[in-house]
Amino acid sequence: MRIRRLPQLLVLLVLGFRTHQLTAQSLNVRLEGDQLKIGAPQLRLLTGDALQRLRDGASVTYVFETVITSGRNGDRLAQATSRFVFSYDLWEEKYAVTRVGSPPRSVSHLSASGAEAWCLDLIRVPVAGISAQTPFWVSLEYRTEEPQRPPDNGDNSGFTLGGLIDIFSRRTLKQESRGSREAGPFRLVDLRRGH
Amino acid sequence: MRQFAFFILLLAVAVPRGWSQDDDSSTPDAEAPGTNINERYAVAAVELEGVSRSLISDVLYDEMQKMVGQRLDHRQAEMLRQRIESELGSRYTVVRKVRKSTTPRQLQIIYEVSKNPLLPFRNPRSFASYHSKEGFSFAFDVAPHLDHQRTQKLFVGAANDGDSLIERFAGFRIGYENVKLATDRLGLRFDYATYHTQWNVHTFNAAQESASGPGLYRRRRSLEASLAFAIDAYFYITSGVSANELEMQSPTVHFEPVRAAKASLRYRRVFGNGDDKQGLAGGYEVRTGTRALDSNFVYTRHSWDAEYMFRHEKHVIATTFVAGKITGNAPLFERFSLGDVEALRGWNKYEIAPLGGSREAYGSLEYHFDHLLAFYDVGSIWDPGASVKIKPSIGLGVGSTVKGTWDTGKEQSPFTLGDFSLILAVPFAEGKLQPTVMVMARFHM
Repeated sequence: MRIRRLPQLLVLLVLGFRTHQLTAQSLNVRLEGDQLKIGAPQLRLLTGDALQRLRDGASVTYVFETVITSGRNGDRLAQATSRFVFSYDLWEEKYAVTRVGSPPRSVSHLSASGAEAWCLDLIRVPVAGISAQTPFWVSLEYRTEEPQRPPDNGDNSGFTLGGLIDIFSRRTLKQESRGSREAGPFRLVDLRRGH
Repeated sequence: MRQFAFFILLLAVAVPRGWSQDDDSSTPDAEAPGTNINERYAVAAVELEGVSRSLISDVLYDEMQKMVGQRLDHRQAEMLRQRIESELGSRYTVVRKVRKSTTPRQLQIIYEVSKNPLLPFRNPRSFASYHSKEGFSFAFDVAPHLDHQRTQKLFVGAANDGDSLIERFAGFRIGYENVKLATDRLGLRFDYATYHTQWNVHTFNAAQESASGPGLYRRRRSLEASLAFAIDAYFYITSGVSANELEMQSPTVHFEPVRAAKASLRYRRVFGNGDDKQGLAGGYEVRTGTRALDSNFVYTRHSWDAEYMFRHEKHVIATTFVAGKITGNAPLFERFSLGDVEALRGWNKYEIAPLGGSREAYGSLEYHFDHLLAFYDVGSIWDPGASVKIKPSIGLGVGSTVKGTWDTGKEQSPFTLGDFSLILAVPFAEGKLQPTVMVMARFHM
């Protein structure tokens, strides 16, 4: 009996990781005119490899893609893409952020959490085309854009057949920072009332 | 159906030649002027670490020194990093770092050069799997590096594996590997393993009925030693010996030695970067058991494998071809099997060939889109004189790389646990539809 249940447990384990990624993370949204503003108070961008590259004096570009859908995995109602370049002032030991795009904006002398909050504060999604009563979900995906890497000649795992899959499953030699947040359902009419 | 199966086999061999080419991906513009706050500081020094300065040209070194006294220009510094790497060749990796200088409010650019290893570590990856017709398998290894240069590894592991061979083997293994034995081109490896074996009822019955077939054994111990020689960064050869001792079950319990010499050639290359990559891997291995090594089993086992993969953004196409031939009297652990979680998925290897086979041919065509997977497998296992029965299967799956974060309270460190996949495969068996469920986890350990 125990053996028969083990496959089900394994499946649940596999699916559970994915589910965890989607449900355990949340977003705050609020309405400003015809635009939706995003808040993610627990989001920490500047960690791991991205942080190390910043401490080595390099810039790190984060791309945020905010999508409003009619439901989980539903039709896209609106979306916005934002790019921010982070750098770390080696002498001041503070962060600077530049928004790439129109109009460009920059800020410096921020703590890590201040820099993260600043760029999230500039992310807006136009919602003029969405009916006030329509329920919708909001997802925020972020990832770092990696600088060009040398070919994987020195990566040994690919000498075996399975190793090639490992190489292909990695986007770069260094760990790419990425993640997502999702929340919903919301309605504009409720957000306006709340505002 | 058989014609279609042969077409896929043909495709598996033909496609790599047509698609293999170099490809460069675009570079994201993270170093645009004005986006890095450190560009307001002047450069006090530019240094090359890890290799002798004489390995790069005077012209390039002078270019590097021209940055001294200027404000930090990341684009210029990155362009010079690429030129250093280009002059040093594919054996080296160059990393650019910027540090505070000893002079206040000035910076120091350091180009750290490290030599890429030529030889790979050959220890297999830890995994856990489930096959609804064959049960669970796992192999876990701990393989710490023994030195700072990361050229030596000690590995200790345990396995209960009913997937890799026609036998289920359970036990432990220990080994040592050095991928830089005095020179980058030479490596050395020792392995010792001791396994208790179990046999599927189909295999047991087939062995009872076969008077001349290979005998069953209850325990297998093996000691292997091999040398590896790298011809270049993509191609290496190995040569070695293996000494196995089998505790045979019949007619009475006794021990039989299996001593073999072995050699292999392996090639692997990955082209492209970022979201566009192509990869090609292939190899040939021969093992021969001989009286000269005091072996009771005299045989020669040849195996060939090739894999090509193409990725564009979230799309991956992979094709695999494997073939093998055994002559003489090989022990069961050397015989080929198909129908597990990796090859000829959906089939039950104990039903196809309960004693394995001395000939094998297998091809696979696989398509991934993001977390989804679809494949067509086809192959056959047979012995000389028997008819060749082509076994095709199709399947669908979902997979994901599971990542996590260690939260130390002060800092969060991301890590990758491994790749997990759930696959439903359907063999094209006559008169019945028996899907197989498989779960596979490959750990990044």
